[in-house]
Amino acid sequence: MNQLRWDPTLGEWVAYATHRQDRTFLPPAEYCPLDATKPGGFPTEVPRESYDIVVFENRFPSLAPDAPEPEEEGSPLTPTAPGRGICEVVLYSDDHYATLAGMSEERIRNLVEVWADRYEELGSVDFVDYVFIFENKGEAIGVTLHHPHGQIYAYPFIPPRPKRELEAAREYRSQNEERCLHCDLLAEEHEDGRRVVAKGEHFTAFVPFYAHFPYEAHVYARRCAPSIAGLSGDERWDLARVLKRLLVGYDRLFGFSLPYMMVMHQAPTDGEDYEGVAHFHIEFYPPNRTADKLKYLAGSETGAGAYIVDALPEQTAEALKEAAEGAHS
Amino acid sequence: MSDRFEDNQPGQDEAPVHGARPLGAPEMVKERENKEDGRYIIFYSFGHDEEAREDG
Repeated sequence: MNQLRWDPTLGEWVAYATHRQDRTFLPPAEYCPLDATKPGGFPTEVPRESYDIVVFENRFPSLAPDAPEPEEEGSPLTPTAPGRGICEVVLYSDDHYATLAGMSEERIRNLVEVWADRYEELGSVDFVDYVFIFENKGEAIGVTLHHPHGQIYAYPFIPPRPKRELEAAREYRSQNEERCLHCDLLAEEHEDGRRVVAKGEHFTAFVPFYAHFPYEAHVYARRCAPSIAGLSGDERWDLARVLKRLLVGYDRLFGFSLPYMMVMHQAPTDGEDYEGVAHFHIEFYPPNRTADKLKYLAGSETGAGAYIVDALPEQTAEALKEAAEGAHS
Repeated sequence: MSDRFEDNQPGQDEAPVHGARPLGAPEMVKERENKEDGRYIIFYSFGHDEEAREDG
């Protein structure tokens, strides 16, 4: 069952997918459904003995392309809609124990190519308004499978957070001589320099001035590219290099493979023009505030939407930069 | 639904596709198949001469 219900108090859709209650939950490594299928072994999601990078439709999708009209009709105030969309799983490697941080720049570069291909293909589907590429990593984030993988949700609407960001960028543009909000933010970060963690030729990783998590980091394209699909070959290589430096920095700083949420923000695929408004970037939200303490989204964050952060971005960026530079030297 | 998506409905496996790529991009081969339950699966492979060691 895939169903959307409208929340008129916040002006946003909520997706219901009750079948997800039955999804595979932290199986032992020898029964990982994301491994390749070994000769004589149990059949996994991937019917080959090895693979490079694989994408498949999620067996337990939050949104489905053939979602029926909901049985629950709702009301004019609280309408419902089919939970229509596409949910994919992206397997980064057939090595069950690999992590993105531990992968070669070449493999990350190949993954960038796959992400760009999925953005283009899913974005071309007429009911898809937003292609959201993300990774939940680590049990602290609630992952149910440890195998290195990310996900893609192709939504039939622009989800609230990217929507707010786009509205802010459009507003800024209209009030500032058509300038891009993100380009100006990046210019400020470069000029200040204290929160820059890793700088490549085409991408920069930094802890934003207004980070919502202690070790939140954003990876911005230097050029105002609306989406990952619009990146040049050189830019894609540089994105892989900067991602690698940031991720290795995270793991070196904490001394273990750091859990995180990684999300990509880019142009919606609803047919509107987002040139100069959408600026491709990746955001990381690690839940850790120290090696053994987590930042929970509690009353203020969840109920009020007001984040309280225990550390200043300048401090966390300095530590993260040192770790990333150590990894790079 | 776009033609591109409809073209890949269950039961319509595709031959490997060598995708268009920007300058400097690795060669990517894309093979699309359908699983027994009708879901699609896409195998992406790249030139292995570009594959370096994994750091662990």
